[in-house]
Amino acid sequence: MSENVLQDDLREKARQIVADVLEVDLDELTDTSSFADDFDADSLLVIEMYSRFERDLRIKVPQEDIVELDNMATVFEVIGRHSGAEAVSA
Amino acid sequence: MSAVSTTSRPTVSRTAAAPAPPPVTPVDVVGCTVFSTAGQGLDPIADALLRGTAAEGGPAGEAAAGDYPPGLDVRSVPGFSPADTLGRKGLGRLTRTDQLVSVACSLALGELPEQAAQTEPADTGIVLGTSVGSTGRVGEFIRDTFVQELPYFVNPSHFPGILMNSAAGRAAIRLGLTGVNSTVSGGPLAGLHALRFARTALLAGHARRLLTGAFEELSAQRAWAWHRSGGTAAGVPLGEGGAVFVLQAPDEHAEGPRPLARLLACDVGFADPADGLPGVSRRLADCVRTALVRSEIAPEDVAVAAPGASGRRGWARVEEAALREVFSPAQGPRRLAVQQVLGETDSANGALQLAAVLARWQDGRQDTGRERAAVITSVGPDGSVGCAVVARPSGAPSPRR
Amino acid sequence: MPDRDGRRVVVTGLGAVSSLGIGARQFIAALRAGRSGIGPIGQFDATGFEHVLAGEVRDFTPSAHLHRVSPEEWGRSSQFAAAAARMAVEDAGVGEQTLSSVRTASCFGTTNGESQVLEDLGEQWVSQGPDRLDARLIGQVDAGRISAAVNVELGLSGEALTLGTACAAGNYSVGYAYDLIRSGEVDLALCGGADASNRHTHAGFHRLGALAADVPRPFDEHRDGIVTAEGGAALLLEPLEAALERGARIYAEVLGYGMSCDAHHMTNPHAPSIAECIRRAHRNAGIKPEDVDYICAHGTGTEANDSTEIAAVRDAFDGRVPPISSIKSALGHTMGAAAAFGALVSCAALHEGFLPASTTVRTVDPALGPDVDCVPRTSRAQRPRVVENHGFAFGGNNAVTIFGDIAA
Repeated sequence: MSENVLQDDLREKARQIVADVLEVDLDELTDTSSFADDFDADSLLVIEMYSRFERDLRIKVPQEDIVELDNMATVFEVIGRHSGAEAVSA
Repeated sequence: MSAVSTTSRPTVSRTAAAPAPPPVTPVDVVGCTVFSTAGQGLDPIADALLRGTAAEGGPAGEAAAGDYPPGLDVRSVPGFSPADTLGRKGLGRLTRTDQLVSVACSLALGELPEQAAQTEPADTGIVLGTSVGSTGRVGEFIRDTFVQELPYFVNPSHFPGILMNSAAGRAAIRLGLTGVNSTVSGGPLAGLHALRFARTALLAGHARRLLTGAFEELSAQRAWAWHRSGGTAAGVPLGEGGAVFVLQAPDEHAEGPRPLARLLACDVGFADPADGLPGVSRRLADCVRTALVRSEIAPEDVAVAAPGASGRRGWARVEEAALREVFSPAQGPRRLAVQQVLGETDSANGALQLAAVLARWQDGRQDTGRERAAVITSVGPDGSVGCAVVARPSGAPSPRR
Repeated sequence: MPDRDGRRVVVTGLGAVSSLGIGARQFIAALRAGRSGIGPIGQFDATGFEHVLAGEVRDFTPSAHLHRVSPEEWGRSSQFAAAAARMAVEDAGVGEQTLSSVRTASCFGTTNGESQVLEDLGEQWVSQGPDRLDARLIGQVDAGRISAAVNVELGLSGEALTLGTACAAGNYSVGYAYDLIRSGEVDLALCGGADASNRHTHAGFHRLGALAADVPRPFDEHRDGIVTAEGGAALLLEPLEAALERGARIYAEVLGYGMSCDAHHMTNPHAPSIAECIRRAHRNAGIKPEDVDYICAHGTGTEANDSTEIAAVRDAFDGRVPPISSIKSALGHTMGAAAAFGALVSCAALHEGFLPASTTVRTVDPALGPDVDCVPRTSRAQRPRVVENHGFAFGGNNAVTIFGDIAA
């Protein structure tokens, strides 16, 4: 598990992005909801999530660290690991 | 231009040595779903043709009126509610063209009489015409590569939508159609190209049934493009919409319901406008004559002509000159003013022209009982020309109203 | 039942505008020698991208290859198609008088159409506003112009059809041309594909995570994506009888083709549907799987494509995988021209007796299963009799063409 503590603010923004991409209300999106099973997500929607993290949160996950995202717990773990790094160079 | 000296330009018309083109095998049109600025279906088109004017209405969808060029008369498909057929989920990722096509194809298949519906998904496909695909999505995607902080900060879910085959691919997913799925491009010729491609595929045995047509969406990008290149012809609004026709191989369900129409010849040709517009007229006339010969229909038996170039400044007369060359000015076919009443619809023109013919033939208010054949013509600014001949099946079904 | 009647169709002319050379001879020689067309992006500003390589056509001088089509009036994709078509006609030894005295069709495929023109307009909109869009550019955007350019260049008056079935379009166009000639609808057909390198296509694949770190490595265990590329490829098709009568050099016979649609996902390929497409092609061509000696793969070099493609081949070939290589290893992914380049190479392979290599593979991916001969690294002198050419695309559009040795 990552040692980084994800700030509340970042958690909420990430949750909002995922809810947007999955087209669900925030309260439907629990920490354990399965994106694929509960919301019909596919790999393209997961790519869209990563894209939004990079563009809107400045959190860039390198290609080699891209893993399938299926629930909020994994999302928090992945972006937690990369939220300290420089997201993008202008 | 090239420094290499050109050889003498070959003449446009064929030499006497060219063999006569082979006769055509008819293909049945057993269904039709259409969206136009007049509304959904053939009835509103029949109303519009009778009235002789376009329906009221401005731009719909997400683009606000302010996104459009001031003074350009634009019309959209009224009351189009894709969520009713497609549901809300994922709708925003579909382009407007995707939505029009998916709804139209769903309805077209759904409305087939039960017996006719029995063709296998593997034998059923989609063939669509377009210009550049979804003008709105292409414009928005390219814009992002310039205005976002980094050029690759585009929306990945929007990437497939910039391709011309997006609508055909999306509709196939929705309906589970694994047969031939093709997309053709060619501006005003796109509808005829689609009919021709589909006909070829059916007769070569690649498919048994093809949902064939063309759709063009209204977008700020398309409107500005027209505005900047001189606008549509006087009195012709910029419209949107399209039609999909269910085409069947000749022997498919031979005992089924009578088709709406029979597609006979669908011929296309080309004449470089740089050699003069009269050459383009002559090439279209040649194309029409050839199409009629191949269809075994005499010019005097053509009751209706639905021209396609009326919305494009300067091109209506090119097309009309060709029609006058083929048909007697006195007793020639009645012209349907399709672009005047439905708007200029670019790649969807041809499909809407065919829909207009079908709308006329099923309109009981018109005395069309003796009309047996129609021609649909197109001329493109690149010099492409085309003509489709459609015949009304004998013992026409009683008009729907 | 597919109609097996009709005239036999052969390929008598080849034309290529590619990152490996301009002209079919140069292109094939470079391919056989294992050269790469991949280099730094030059056609657009690559600032801001992490992946900066592409397979671009360098030093293309329009006036050197085009007599009538000019860059002032036609986009780059149209120029490529017209130039390749002219080369194919010259390669076939067919004169312009012949072309215009018989029914001749032009049929070219594309993925992005006149993408550079669209991009120029997009840039104008952003930097100057929509009320400053250049009308001359607006007149050049329609993708139908790609085949129209061929007609203008060669003085043709017949059908000019552009197919928009993305990265399979080159095969759709060969197939359509084949049907037109076979049925007697036309007597000559120019077919192929064309696309131009452009920033927004590169951006799209970049965003999908589909671009390779450096060169594409189809079938490699560490393959990581495509390299975007451009080009134009053309084939001249005519009836066998006519070709024999005029003593033409015949590269290969077009035996048939098949099309299918995944109807599954817009970007992820679907093995069962691809296998079905292969079966349809075999049926249409009147061949059995064991007849195929070599497959010119779609082979983009992504994880998903290559494994799906091999799985589909196993399915359609009852477990066997014929020798299968990807020319995208040398060219990159030329989009709508890709399957047309594949068709061209298929004809050359049959005519000259070689199998092109997957030039960039280091270790064949063991996850692809046993007995995958991807013709690693070096092209091979071998005389195939029947060659299968793959083309798959976003939107689930698939098309497979089959070519045969005319002497067989």
